[in-house]
Amino acid sequence: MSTTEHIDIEQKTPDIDLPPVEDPDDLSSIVEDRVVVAMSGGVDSSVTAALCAEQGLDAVGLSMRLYATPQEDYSKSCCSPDDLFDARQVADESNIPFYVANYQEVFQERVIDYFVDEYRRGRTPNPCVACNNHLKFDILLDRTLALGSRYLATGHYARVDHSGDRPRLLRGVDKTKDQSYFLFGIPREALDRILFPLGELEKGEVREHAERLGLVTADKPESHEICFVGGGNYEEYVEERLEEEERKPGKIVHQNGEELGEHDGIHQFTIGQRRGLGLSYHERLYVQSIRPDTGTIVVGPKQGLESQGLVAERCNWLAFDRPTGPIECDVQIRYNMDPVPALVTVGDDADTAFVEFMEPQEAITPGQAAVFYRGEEVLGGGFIEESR
Amino acid sequence: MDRIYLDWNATSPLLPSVQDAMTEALESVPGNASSVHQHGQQARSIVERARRAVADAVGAPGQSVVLTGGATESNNQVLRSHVRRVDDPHIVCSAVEHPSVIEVVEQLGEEGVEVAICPVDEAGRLDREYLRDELKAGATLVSVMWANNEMGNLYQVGELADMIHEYGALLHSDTTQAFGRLPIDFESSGVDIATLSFHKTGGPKGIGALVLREGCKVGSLMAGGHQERGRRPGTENVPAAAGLEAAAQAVDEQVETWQQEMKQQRSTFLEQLREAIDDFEIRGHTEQCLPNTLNLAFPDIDGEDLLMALDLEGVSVSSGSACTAGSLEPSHVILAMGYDHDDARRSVRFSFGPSTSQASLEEAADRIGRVVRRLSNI
Repeated sequence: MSTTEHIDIEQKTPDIDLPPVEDPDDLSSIVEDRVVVAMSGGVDSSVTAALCAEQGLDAVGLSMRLYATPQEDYSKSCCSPDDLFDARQVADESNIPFYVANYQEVFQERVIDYFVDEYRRGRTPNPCVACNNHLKFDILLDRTLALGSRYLATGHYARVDHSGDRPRLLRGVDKTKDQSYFLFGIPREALDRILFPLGELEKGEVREHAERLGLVTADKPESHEICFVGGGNYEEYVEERLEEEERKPGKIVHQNGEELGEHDGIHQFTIGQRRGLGLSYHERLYVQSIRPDTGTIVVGPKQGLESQGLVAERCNWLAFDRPTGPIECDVQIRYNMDPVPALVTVGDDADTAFVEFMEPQEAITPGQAAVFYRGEEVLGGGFIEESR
Repeated sequence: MDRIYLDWNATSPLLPSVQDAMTEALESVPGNASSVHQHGQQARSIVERARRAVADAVGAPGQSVVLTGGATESNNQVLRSHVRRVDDPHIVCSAVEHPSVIEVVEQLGEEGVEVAICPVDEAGRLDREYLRDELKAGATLVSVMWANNEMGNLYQVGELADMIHEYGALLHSDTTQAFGRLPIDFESSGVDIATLSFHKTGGPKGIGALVLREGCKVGSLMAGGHQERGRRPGTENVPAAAGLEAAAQAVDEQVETWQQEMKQQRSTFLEQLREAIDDFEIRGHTEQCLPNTLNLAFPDIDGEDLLMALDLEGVSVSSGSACTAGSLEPSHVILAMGYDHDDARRSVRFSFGPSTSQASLEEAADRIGRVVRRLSNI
C-alpha cells in the first residue's frame, strides 16, 4: 500500500474540554455542559458548532445580526441575509437550537462609527479587533450567561491552554491562519470561559471535518474582506460616510519639504502605502505620516519609514494583571508579519505601553494593533498611538 | 424535559377532531370541489359544510362566508378590493393592527390612496376623536381589529360601528385572535366585513374566511377561477375545509366554556408568576382583554434574551411579532402605545389555549422564575 497524505480525521478531532469556572455570581440554573457557539455562517464557525454537538456538549448556536445588507434596506422586514440562512442550516443539520441576536446598534456605534472615525483622524483602524473586544468577547459573552452557559466557543484559529495555574492565550497551530493577533483584547478573566476548538487544527483539516459532517458551508469560499463593507471598496465606504467638510483634502509633501501634489481626502492613505499616490518621482515614495489637522500627507523613501519604537494605548494584559517591569518579548504590529524582538515597558498606568524594538521597524501605523508575544503566548496588546 | 407551548397567538396545536377530519379527507376525498362528477360533489360537500359551520359559529348567514387562504389574504383582499370598488377611497386603520392590515394601508398610501392611521393611548385604546375627524373628512372604510395579537386588548368594535355608519363608512374587523377565545356574534356586532382565521384555536392553517354583511361586496385579489363565486380563484383546499368544519363546530359548541377556563388559567398563572417573581409589569388592558394572552415586561430584562433563555428551558413564548430572523424593530404595537425603544424591547407575550393544562402553566411559572432570576443576576 502506498502512503497517502490523507489526514486521519479521527485522530485529529480536538477534544473540547470545559475548564472549571468559578461562577461570578449566584447564577441559578447554569447548565453544566452547555456551550454557546458564535456562528457567522462561515465554514470555521460551522465546524466549531458541529464538533461541539458531535462531542455531546449541549451546544447552542447564536448568530449576530450586525448590519443591514443593501437588499434589506427597502423594507424593515426580517428577511435574512444568506449567511444567517447558512448558519441556521448548519445548526439544523447538527440538531442544535439556533438563535439570531440583533446587535446592529452596538455594532454601528462600536465598530462602524469607530472605523470611519479612525480614517477621519488619519489613522488605520482594525475593525475585527473592535468587533472582538466590544461584541464577541463582551456582550456576546454576557449573553451566554443569559442562556445558562458559562462557555462561548468561536471558530478562531487560536488556543487557550488550561494546563498551568492560569489560562494562556496561544497562537493557533495553523500558522498561516493564526488569529491570535485579533484576540489580545479578550478580558483576562474571561479566558476560562472561551473555547477555540479549531486552534489545534489546520485549515485543511477543518474543511475535511466540514465535508465529513456534510455541512452546507463545507465549500464556502473564505472572506478576507471587511464584512460590513461587503464587496465594495472601503475608501468609497468611508467617503460616503464623511461630511463634505470632513474630507480633508490637502497637499502631498516630500519629507524634504518639496510639494509633490494634492489629494482629496486623508482617509485614502495609510502609513507605508506606495501605490495609488498619483505621483511621478525619481525614486519610490511611501506614505510616512498623515497630518489630519492640515490634511498633509508626507511621503519619502523607504528608509524614512523606520522607527525605533512606538507607544500603544488602551492596552489589555492577558498573562498578568500588569507588567511589573520591562518585558523582553516579540511584538507584532501588523497581522501579516513575523513578530520582532522588543522591550516593552509600561508607565504608571498599565493602559499605555512603550515599545523599543531591537531593530528599527517600518510603517508603524497608528490605529493598528501592537500585540506582545512570548513564544506562542499572547501576553497582551494595545492600539498603536504613534511611532517614536 | 417536557416542552411547554405558550405561543397560541402564533398558532395552536390541532384539535383531535380537526386532525381526524383532515386525515379522513386526505385519505378518501380525491376530487376537485369544482368538478361535476361524484368525486367532485363529495369534495364540494365538504367545502360547503365548512362554510355553514363557520357561519353558525359567528352567527352569520351561510352565503355571507367567503373562504380564503388565510387571514393575511383576507385582510389584503378587503383593503385592496375596497380601493378598486369605491370612487374616492379613504381608509383608516388603527396603529395596532396586524401587519397584514397596517402594511397594506401604508402601501396603498404610497400608491396615492388617502389613508390614515389612528393613534392609540398608553393602554392601547383608540383615539375616537381622531377617528371622527377622519370620518368627517370622508373616510370610506375603517379597519379595527377585534382583539390585538400582542397585547390581547379588545377593541369594542360594536361601539365604533354606529359612529362609522353615521358617516356612511364601512367597518372591517380582523377577528383572528378573537375567534374561539370569546363569542363572536357577527349579526349584532355592527361589523360589515370580518376577517377570520382558525389556526389560533385548534383549526387548520392555510385557510381563512371573510364574512360579509348583506350588500357588502369584495372583489378578488387574483384572476383565473370562478371559485367562491369569483372572489377567491384557485382549487379549494378540501382537507383544510374538512378540518375547518370540525374546528368551527368545536368553537360553536365550546367557546363559552373555553373562555371561562382560560380566564381562570390566566389568573392562576398570574398568581403563580407573582409567587415566583418579585416584580414585573402587565402590559395592555387588564379588563378588556383576551382570556388567554399576557404581555409582560420584567425589569431590566431584554425580551430577546428572555425568549431564548426560556426556549432552552423548554418554554415556547414570543416577543413582539413572530419573526424568526430577529426583527429589526421592536413591535409597532408597543411603540404605538408610547413605550420607548428599550422599554418596548422588554415585552414578552405568553399565550395559551383551552388544552393548556394547569400543571404545565405551574411548571412554566417555575421555569420563568428561574430564568428571570438568572437574567437579573447578570
